[in-house]
Amino acid sequence: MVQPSAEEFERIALPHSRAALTLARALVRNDADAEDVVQEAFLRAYKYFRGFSGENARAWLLSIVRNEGYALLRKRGQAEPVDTLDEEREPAPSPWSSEARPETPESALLRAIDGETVRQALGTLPAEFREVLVLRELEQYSYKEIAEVTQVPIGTVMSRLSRGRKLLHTRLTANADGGGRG
Amino acid sequence: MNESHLGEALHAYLDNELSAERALEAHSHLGSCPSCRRELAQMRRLRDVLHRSLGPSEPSVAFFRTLQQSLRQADPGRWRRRLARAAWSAGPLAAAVLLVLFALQPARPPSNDLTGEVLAAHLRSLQPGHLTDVMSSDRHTVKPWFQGKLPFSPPVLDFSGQGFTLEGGRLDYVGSQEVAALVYRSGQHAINALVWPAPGERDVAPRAETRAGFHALHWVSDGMAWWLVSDIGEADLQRLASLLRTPHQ
Ligand SMILES: [Zn+2]
Repeated sequence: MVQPSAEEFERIALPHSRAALTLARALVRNDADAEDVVQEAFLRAYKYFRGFSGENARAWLLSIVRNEGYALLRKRGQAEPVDTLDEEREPAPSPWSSEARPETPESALLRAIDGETVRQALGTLPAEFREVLVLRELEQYSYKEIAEVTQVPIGTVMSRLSRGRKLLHTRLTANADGGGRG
Repeated sequence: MNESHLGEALHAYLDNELSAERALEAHSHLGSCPSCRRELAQMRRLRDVLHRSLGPSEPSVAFFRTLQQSLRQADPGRWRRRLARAAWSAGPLAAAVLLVLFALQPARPPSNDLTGEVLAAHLRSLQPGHLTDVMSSDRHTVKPWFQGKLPFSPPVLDFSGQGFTLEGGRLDYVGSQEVAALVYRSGQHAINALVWPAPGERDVAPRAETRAGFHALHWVSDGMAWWLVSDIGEADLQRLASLLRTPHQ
């Protein structure tokens, strides 16, 4: 198969640039770098497009964006190696677990929280949690598609989503509580 | 009854990722377990917060331009690429000379694939936030908006009564040509009408082309080149074309 023209590739790739940028931004946590990551990734995808025969262009493109994103994190020394993330370990229990807390303060708190606080809290999560969270919540990817992008089993996607959400919830509600805890 | 809580399955339940059977199980567990109910409510609230505070990342127009430029440069079918290779094999001096020549060339060599360019413009415009620069169904708002931005004045007409509502306009590029884009809507479908001057070109009757599920319709009349592009049926596109081609005041 000959390499397609740039125009042909654009028709397939451009509709996914928003999702690509959302993912890149969640990974590198900086708008300008995120755009560079997507540019690099799409260019790379175009060069390897001949070898691509899968049906899901979106997952394939995003997996390349993800690789570029992690490459940048590694360059910055910010990559959390996946193997330090023990999939079995539960997130550190919060002294005020949901069972112990009355519900109203938590919900009032979440309602009042501002966007910047949320972005910052998300930024403190490990990259493996950030990526599944944004793909699910902002781009409505299915578990199967997230698994394809992140190249892990669906069970791991579910586990990371579950732990990422709990961790984020804890950080958001703990932050706004005055952060009296270490 | 609540020997084990839902745990991770609670998230799969929240995300509609459980099989019908397991969703039913989860549902009945939730009915009898206040703890899981509370956690589900918390996770729903967290989702609301995320939706509210983290919009998806809209690519900028500059982003698309840079991307298109680098893709075209990477396109091996382009003469630039082939020449560059020849130059390198001819030696560094020839390469240096050609590099200087390249620097003087416009960044984007014109493409022969006009349909592809038009389709790319349409797809770019479908990215959220990119459809219109001026959003109005009032042609007396849209038409003046183009003044001073383009060296020509595009005909701006609304056909709401005929099922094609003018939504607004924007500036776009087709190849290296700056064009006026008029956006019409028909039901759920956006239609881009791209128009630019084609001085001295003979009139061409509408010619349809279909690519990747999109229809494009091209004609030339009164020294203006027109392209309609959309995912609506070709017959509808023809109908809009004939409305646009009907002489108006
Ligand atoms: Zn339970």
